[in-house]
Amino acid sequence: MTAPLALAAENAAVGWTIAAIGAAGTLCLLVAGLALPGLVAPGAVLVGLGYGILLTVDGGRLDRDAALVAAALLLACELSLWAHELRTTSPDEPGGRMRRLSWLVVLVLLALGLCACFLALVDLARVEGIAVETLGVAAAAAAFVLLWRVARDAGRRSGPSP
Amino acid sequence: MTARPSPRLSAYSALVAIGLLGALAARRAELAVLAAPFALVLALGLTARPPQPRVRFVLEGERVLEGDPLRATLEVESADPIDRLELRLALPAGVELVADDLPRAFHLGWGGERSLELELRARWGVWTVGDLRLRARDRFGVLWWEERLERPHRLRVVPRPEQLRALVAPAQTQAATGNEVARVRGEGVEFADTRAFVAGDRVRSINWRASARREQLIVNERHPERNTDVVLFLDSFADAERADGSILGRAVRASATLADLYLRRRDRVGLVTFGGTLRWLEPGAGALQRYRLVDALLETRMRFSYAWKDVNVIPARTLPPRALVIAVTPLLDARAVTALLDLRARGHDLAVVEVPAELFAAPGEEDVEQLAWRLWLLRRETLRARLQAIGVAVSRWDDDAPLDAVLEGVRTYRRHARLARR
Repeated sequence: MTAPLALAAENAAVGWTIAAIGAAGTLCLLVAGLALPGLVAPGAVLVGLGYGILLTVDGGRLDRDAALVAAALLLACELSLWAHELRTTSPDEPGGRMRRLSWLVVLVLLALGLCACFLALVDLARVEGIAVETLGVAAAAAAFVLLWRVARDAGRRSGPSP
Repeated sequence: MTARPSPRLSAYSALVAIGLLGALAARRAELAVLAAPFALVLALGLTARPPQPRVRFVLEGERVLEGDPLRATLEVESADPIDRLELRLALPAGVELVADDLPRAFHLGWGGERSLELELRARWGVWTVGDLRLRARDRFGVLWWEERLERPHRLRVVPRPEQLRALVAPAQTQAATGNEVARVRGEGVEFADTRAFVAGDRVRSINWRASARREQLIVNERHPERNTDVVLFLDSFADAERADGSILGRAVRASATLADLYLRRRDRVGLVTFGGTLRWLEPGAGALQRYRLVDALLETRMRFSYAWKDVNVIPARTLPPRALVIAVTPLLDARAVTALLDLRARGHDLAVVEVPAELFAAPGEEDVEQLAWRLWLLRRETLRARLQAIGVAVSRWDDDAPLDAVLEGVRTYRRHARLARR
């Protein structure tokens, strides 16, 4: 996944740096899938770091491929966690893996759509003014309220069932 | 069900936090875009409803013969869909699944239900089966929902009986009618002897041929058919296991077989479990006594104890006079051996079926260990000889011998020893 990012860098040194960081991230994700699920977050962070370096070096224009990178990162994390689950949980009934795979495809497409919408909004915000800022504040407030409600519901549900 | 965080929850939460902070620090919206899918998964996963599966566990029966398969059914249903439900039946040490390759994780749709046919096999004893562990996850896998369900079923596994052609006949019989030909003379079928007629003898007892020869009235004497009292003395002080069984398992199997066959002969059978815990069952006859005996045998366990016990702790009614006492013992514990010697000294008719402990042990490799092993074997031989010297039949139940052959050893000894005692 990090190879296209490394190739996209105009400077060779930057490309090698991104490749090295990306390789470390990929290794973390592989190890997470084999034995240590705790390495999923460090692996994804390393890959994201490589992408961040590329963005910093390439200047201030909005990268329209960010949605693809995000979807690919989600896919890599999901596959890594799935690999770990396969090793540690009971075997699935026949057809279970195919259902999971198709759900993963749906999830990645959903993520791709969400990220594309988000990028479109950001692009819009760059050309608009105070109206979009207001929209951003409203979205932040809505996100806060949503998170608060989710946390409250999760706290109620986590008790033992009757 | 109780919610537990999955590795996905911590990993994705960290990624969202780092992505958003990175986006703020670097002033790059793309990093926030990277975090967005993970935030989406977290939001959808945390808002999912907790699964509420209903589980039923049914056992085909509650009594089964050791080694026979027993069918069990696990039924799961749920009104709401569950993406993945893991089901595990935690079994006690003596029970196992015959085929352990069944899928244990299912997907349940709306109003979905699933039925699993299991086949269990169990060692002798009383077991409680039905400890179920459930783990469910939704589509997003952010939380795992776990629950432990108790659907207890008491399973009694009866030891498989041995094939026996003949039993050990007691030296003396009781007063009630039974199948054992008594030594005494009275009304019966088996011819015993002839004697001169005395007043009060029944006319049908007169032996006319003998009377004609002797020129006086001679009557036939017969042996009556009587029942016997048999007390099974099960030594549970010591036990040892190997892959194909244990000392106590073999002793329980022998005791259950003997109890069953003696009860079929209309004899009265009692039980004394002599070990860390003393248990007894007074002699009785009939189907109810058979169930009592089997239940008592199934609950026999070795319980370690330093407390000294002798015959005096056994209630007198459990060991009636003229009863045949059959001890099934490894002859390992001094308390059990002393109790047997005391029983014989008090005049009880005693026979010992030995489950040899040396079959369940092995000598060490060192010279000293080999020497200790040989000394131990010699001590055991001495003990057997001591018991035989006081008129107790001791027969070893070796690996390759059926119980019938072991009892034949007891019968053979008693045929000769009886003459020696007189």
